Amino acid sequence: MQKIIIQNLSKSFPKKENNGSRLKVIDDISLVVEPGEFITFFGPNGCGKSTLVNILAGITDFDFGEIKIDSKNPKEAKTGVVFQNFSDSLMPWLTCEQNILFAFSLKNRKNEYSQAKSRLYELLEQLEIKLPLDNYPYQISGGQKNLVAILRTLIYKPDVILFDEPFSALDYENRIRLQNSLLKLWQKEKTTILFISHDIEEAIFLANRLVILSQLPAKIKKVIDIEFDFPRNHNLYETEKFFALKKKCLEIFKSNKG
Amino acid sequence: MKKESFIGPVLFIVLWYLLYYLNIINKLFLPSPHEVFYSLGKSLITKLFWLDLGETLWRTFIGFCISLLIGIPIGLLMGYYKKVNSAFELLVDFFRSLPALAIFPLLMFFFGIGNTSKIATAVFSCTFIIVINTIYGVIHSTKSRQISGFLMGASKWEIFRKIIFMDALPHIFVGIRTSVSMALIVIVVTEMFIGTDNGIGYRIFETQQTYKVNELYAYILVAGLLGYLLNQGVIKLEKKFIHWSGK
Repeated sequence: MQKIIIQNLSKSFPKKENNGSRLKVIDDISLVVEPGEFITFFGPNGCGKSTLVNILAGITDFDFGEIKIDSKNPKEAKTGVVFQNFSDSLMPWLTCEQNILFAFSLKNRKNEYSQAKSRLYELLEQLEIKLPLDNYPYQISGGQKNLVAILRTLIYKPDVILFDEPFSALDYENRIRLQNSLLKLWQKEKTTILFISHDIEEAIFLANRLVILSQLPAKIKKVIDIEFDFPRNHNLYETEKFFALKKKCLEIFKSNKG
Repeated sequence: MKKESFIGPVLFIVLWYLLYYLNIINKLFLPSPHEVFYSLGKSLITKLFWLDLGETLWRTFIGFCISLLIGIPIGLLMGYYKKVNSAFELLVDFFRSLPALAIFPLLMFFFGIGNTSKIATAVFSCTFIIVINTIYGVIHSTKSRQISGFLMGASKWEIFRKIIFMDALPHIFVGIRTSVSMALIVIVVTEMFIGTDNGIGYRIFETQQTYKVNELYAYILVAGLLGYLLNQGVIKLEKKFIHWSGK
């Protein structure tokens, strides 16, 4: 069974001038995602990528088309989002551990708390990820905060996790480190991930399929299978194949047609 | 405290002595610092002083607590429900702009000349400060935090209690800090009116009426110190419980 089916999705917003005209943001997007896929969306800034995330998360309504996530609509499906401003989305009054396990402090999942806690410790140990769990978010680095936001979303096992350019505010080294951690977590947990990026190298490196979006309104220009084997590491960046693929993607991105 | 922190107070005392010895101000109205401190020291060992202090603190504390109990729920409601906010915004803005002491005479009609009218005036002045700051805190609660909670399956009540309220706490504390000082001011002033025979405010008034100038200064000093210490106390509490504030 397919994990996510997006069919002819369109969305427009009323224009600021308030004369009844509307600005089209998403134009007829269709995509089928298999369980456990890592899909990246690559597109220019301001092309409606964040709107796409909000629609899939069930936060924003859409105008036309259909979305099914595990045959549920986005409002019913359990989705997780790692925001671009991930730092703001953490609770500064809770320690990292309490942040990560927040979903299990809620009434309907309280009974799973201790289970989730041991799963977290196991996960961190297996993946050799070090996090100061007893510290508060304002005491840790941006990269660590990002990891907390990712783990918090991963641990409550949503049907799909949406990433809205979460690494764009990080420096190069941290970004590389987090990309590695994320891939490890993804392979371990077999979560379905939709990841939005405006960094073509990142978009290729992480994905098993890459979706190239157009300028506003966002249309799918092309979907490309990324056939590098997992687990990957960043030496990939220096291979000819990677370089060629990147060039090809950028050409598609810049082309006017489609 | 840093070494530099003492420069200000020392300069202040030096200036005071200068004014005193240069005879710029009539010595009848400006005693020397040592006379004032001597008088303060003498008061400190009297029972009367501690009774006055206790009365003032007690009135301030009760007034402040009642305004918390009224102000926080109202502020939370108004912050959370836009319609409630629109309905009462004008009233709140009007009443908080009204100098609280202006209604003290009126409250004396209702509550008599005892403690109740003083405390009621303090409540009146503090509640609006708490309400305004609580509303502000709730309205400015971080959206992405609420959305994250929602996506993690939090109910509306849980989002309110575990996210919005916590997010509002630093702002609520701004209100708490402001209103503690305000409560003290209002209580001390209302203690100067008829029908009172204790409290720091009464003592200030009484020593002025009877030209006990040294004591008058001593009690003014005490009132200032009290305000300062209350404020510091709240800051300490804030640092402890709202450790994430401003970070």
